[in-house]
Amino acid sequence: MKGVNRILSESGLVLTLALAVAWLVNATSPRGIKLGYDYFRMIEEPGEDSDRILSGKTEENESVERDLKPVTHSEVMTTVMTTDLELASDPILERLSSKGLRGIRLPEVLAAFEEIEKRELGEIVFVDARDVAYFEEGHIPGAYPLNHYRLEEGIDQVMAACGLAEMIIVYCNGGECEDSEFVALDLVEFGLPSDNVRVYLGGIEEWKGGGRLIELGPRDSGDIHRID
Amino acid sequence: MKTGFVLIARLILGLSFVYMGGVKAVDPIVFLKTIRGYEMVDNPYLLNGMAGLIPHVEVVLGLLLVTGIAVRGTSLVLLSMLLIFSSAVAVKGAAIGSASDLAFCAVRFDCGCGGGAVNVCVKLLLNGGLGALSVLMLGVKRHTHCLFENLFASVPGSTGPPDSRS
Repeated sequence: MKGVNRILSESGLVLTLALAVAWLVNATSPRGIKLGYDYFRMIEEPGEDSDRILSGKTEENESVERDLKPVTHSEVMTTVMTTDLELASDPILERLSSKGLRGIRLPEVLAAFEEIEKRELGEIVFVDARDVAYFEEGHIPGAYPLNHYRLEEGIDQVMAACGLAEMIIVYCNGGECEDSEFVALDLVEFGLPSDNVRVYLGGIEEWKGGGRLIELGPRDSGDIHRID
Repeated sequence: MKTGFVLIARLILGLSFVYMGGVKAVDPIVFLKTIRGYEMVDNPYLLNGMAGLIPHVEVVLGLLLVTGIAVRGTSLVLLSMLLIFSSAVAVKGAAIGSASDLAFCAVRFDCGCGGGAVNVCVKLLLNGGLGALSVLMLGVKRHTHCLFENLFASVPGSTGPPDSRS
């Protein structure tokens, strides 16, 4: 019995020591986790629902107003890409919608990418939400890296680049990858209008799958290749 | 029991944890996302604590075993961790199998254990092996080549500091 107590005491001491060392290492490591930060918070952003309530509009009269207006190319680009039917059948769209975000699909992303002048003027901005190591292995040309878990490393640059942006397209790997959603929420929290922020649903995996251009290395490295 | 065998078993157990913890410690964010995927812990701060501390705890415990410090106490902690991790892997594996209509042993996923995607049954067998080594460490009363085998040394013949048999 004494031996058992001794082992239990020893294990308690060992665990305490290991936790103390682990805390110290984590606190001093540049890649450490911020223990007091909620990485997965759902941001309560002032979305269109609250805007609609404030302006006294209803969904019905808003949709009538939309129907009466002539539709321009720019509006097609920034129109909500989801319908109720899509929402019901796509859990990712439903998840985005619940966070006040909007998804965007490949045709719209391609159209935005082909707006070279707008991209150069900063009216259309691509943001890559993956870790910088993956970013450098290949990203959409001109995209800015911004990792939700290391926001301090890129948020200033991205916010400066988005000052004139009419459309900010955020992507990660696509599919179940949530990093683009977190970055989109971060951008909204930092003051960008949620209407301008889109999450590219297919992500880089879809982009790479179709013989499109990717840039290797850091942003604007000029090392651009076509994926076959 | 052959002391050489026990020593090798201790080194295997210790180095395994140093490796698994080290891989996770290199990028704890990946580990954070993985353990969140288990959907067993909702509290974000608890998740952060697990992701930020477990990898380093594993490395420290592994190093304690390799150097022979508090061998039996360390083995008990490792055994407890293995039981918790293995239960989580089994539950997650069963959930994935059920969701994708796969047999349990056909399920393959990244359990966050430090080795990327792995077959769930292979992972549980590996954990079982490490668990058996931990039990062995607990069962052996005298370990050789230890810096500080027992922190509370009062067993006759057991080693406190310094270990004259090292």
